[in-house]
Formats: sequence, structure tokens, C-alpha cells
Amino acid sequence: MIYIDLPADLNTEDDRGLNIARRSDAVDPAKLSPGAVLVAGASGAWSWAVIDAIEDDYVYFHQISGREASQHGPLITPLPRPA
Amino acid sequence: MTRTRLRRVEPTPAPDQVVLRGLLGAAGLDSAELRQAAGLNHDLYGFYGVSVWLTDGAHPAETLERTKLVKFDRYVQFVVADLTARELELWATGMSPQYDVVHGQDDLDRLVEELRAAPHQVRLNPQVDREEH
Repeated sequence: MIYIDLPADLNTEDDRGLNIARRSDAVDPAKLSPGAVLVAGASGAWSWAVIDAIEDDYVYFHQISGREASQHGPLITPLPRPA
Repeated sequence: MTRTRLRRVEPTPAPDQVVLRGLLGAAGLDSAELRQAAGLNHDLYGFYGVSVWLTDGAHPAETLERTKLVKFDRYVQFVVADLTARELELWATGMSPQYDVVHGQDDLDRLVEELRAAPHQVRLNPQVDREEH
């Protein structure tokens, strides 16, 4: 099961070709920072991604392969537990 | 504060050109998803727009399936004339071949309604890369 960290529409790009999402939509906004690797997208289209920048409530990121993501750490993690 | 959106100077898309948009979930052209996408665009750039990809000689559907749409299981396909016949416009925004579908009066409700009502076909992406682990 894939766990989406950052809900996003992967059709949407800015003028640089970066994808965009709202920071406030993130499952855990505190985990967001430039350079962070996470899963972005939706159930029908998701990707590993690296955050390029965070400006106001917007997160700019680019898609990477699972192989590249694995170089940053394990890809399988326990699901977060409800508080 | 809204940002300035780059609008490319390009010829108006031909009526028979095809535009594609990746589907986010199983619901097809879902109203809530389209509203959310258009709303994000509005908050960023000051107008309601839904991102699509315009096919042409340099960007045929087969190429877009393995590039811009490579993470999408399914995508929806429109013909330009079917959009422009419904008060919708195609703006060349950002980097080619991205376009935004917008309503002529920047009406969010009409944008979503007309886009969903326009003739379209849902297609499976044979080149999808799901990278399941």
C-alpha cells in the first residue's frame, strides 16, 4: 500500500516545470523541507519526489524514481499511528 | 499574493488537436478534483485553470504517456474543438506542451461543468510506471 505524504495533482506544473502542492494539504507539514524525499500525488498517480522549495503555502517539487528515492533511506515505513 | 504566470506566444491550437489530462483517481473527471486543481491555480496565478497537455508533432500521445503522464494509470482525452465550443479557452502556460483550460469569464463552476460535459474518452495508459515496492 502506498502512503501519500503530500496530496498533489501531478498534471500541475509551474513555469519551471516543477509540480506544486499546498503545504497545508500535507499529512505532516512539519516534515516538509527543501531536499526532503516523500511520496506526492494521488491514488491514481503518485511519485517519489524531492522538495525544491517551499514558498508561503506552496510546495514545489520534482519527481524522482524509486531507485533514486531509495538512496535517501528505506522506502517502506510503518504507517503513522493515530494520536 | 498571486504570481505572474508565463503565457507562451504560440499559434492557437487547431480544432482537431487532442489534449490529455491525467486522472487522479477512479472517479473519472471528478468535480471535486477539478475544482481543487482550478482553485490552486487561482490562488497561485489569479485565474481558474485546469492543466492539460496538448498533443502535436513534437509531443504525440505516445510520448506524453511515458513522460508527463507516466505516473497516471488512466488519462482523459479531449478534442480542442469540443472544448472551445463550450466557452472554454486554451491558454499556453508554463512549459510546452502544458496548457490551461479556462472559462472565458473565469467562472469556476462553469469551468468544471463544461469540462466534465465536453465529449471525452478515458484511456488506459499502457506506459504507466507505478514503481510498486
